[in-house]
Amino acid sequence: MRRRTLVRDAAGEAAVSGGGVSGLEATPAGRLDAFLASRGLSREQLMPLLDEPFGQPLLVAAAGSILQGVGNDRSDLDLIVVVEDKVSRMPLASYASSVLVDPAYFSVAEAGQWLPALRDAEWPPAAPVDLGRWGRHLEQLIYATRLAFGLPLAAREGWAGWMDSFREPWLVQRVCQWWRVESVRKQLAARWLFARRPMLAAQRQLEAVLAVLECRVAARGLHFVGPKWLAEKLGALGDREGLAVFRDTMCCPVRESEVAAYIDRCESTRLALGGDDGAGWVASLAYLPGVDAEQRDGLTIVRRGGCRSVALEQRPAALPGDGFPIWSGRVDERLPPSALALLDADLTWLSLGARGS
Amino acid sequence: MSEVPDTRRSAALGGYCVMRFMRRIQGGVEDIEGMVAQGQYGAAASMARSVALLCLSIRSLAHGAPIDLDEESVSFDVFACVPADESAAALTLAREALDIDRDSAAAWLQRFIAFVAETERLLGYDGPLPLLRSPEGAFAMIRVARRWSPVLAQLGLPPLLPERWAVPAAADGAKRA
Repeated sequence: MRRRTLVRDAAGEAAVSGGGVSGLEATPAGRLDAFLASRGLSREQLMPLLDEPFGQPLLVAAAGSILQGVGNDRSDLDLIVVVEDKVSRMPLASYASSVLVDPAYFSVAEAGQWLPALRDAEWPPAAPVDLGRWGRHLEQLIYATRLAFGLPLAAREGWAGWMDSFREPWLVQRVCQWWRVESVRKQLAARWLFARRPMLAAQRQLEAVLAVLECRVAARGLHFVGPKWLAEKLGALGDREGLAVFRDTMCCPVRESEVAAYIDRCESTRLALGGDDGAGWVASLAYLPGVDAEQRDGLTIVRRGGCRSVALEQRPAALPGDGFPIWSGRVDERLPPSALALLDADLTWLSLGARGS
Repeated sequence: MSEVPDTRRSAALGGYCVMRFMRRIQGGVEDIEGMVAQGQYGAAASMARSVALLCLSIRSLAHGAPIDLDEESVSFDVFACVPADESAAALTLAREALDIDRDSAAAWLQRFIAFVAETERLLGYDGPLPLLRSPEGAFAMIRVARRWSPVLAQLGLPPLLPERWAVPAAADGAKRA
């Protein structure tokens, strides 16, 4: 295997070198050029091959695993393209000559939300976060960190500077905070799900530990959001302890009888690594989108479209559309039976907010 | 928990699960192949876990679990209704990626691809689905959407394609094909 080294690129960001086809070059530009050259192309030759389905771009940035230094011979080239008007998020990967290009298009209005949402606002916000907002925040973090490790291929006035904003230290802090909160959220889910869905609980506990490791590598400069690359990032940082934890955690239970011991062991590890104990957070359960309810024969029937439902003898504290959570409380509190039944039937969304906010 | 009638289950497998397979599992297998070829075994193990869990989600529905489309929810249970031995085999196979090396990687990959192909057969199509990221893939996805979207709507099930996939009207200055 190639030796992996941690280097600092021109923008001062830590990056992985030696991992993939372009890893021999130390900078994102070098990696991109090496990747394209191995396919008989240059950046100049690539640009005219790119389609413009949503109008002339204001920014075309190369991004993703190749530029982050973890890509390999089978990697595609991710592009972030900002255009003036509305776009579709339909997957539009296609070959530009011999390069598989996977573009993600954003309107100016969407891209314009990234800095206010990520840099200028706290995460999580005071009010409970629904699935839509959680998903938007994750997407914004993914693309912001791709921009941080990315390279502008074409940029109208001001857009290269906008891209540079994502190379500033605040983004590392925001990524660390995301993983810190996710670790608590997943651990809480593991605890709540354990009695009735132990195999699922084990997977949530696994994710809670990996989230702490993600926080750890992010704090050391490898903050691009891409969970599949965690082991590569730990390796690049020479983090032997982290790699050992990764391996131990990934050896998840395959039988229910193994789950209790696994969760205990992993939770000790998570806390020993500096994982948050949850004391500073308020947890909330709200309904997933598309969930509705009706009263029938003294029962409350809660259902998700024609997909799944649960019949409750005790009316939950909130019904869909009430505008407040089914339950909110400290992470060490017990869930009421109706809330637990709704969680068990996968009709709820779990979020965290800061205590006292 | 509600029972899912066979019609809904078939429609969910043919529609939602095919989309899940084409969008996430196919790409995951391609990722694993690239990682194994590059000696990125830790990354391959991460991706193998994700793909194995997604395959179990399809098997879960085929075995009688309720339809669940909320993959990001903490309660999205890929193990629901899957026999314990089947779940254990899938997790064990994914875990084995942690121990592969240059000598054993190809054999492991072959077994993993066979597991994915076995899952694909549950989707009810005559042969393997085209790769989404191939010239035929986009057309196959459109065919799936055209075939199943009206059926899902008739059954009162959620739309097959995300709202954000809708293609906006061309603006002035857009290059036209």
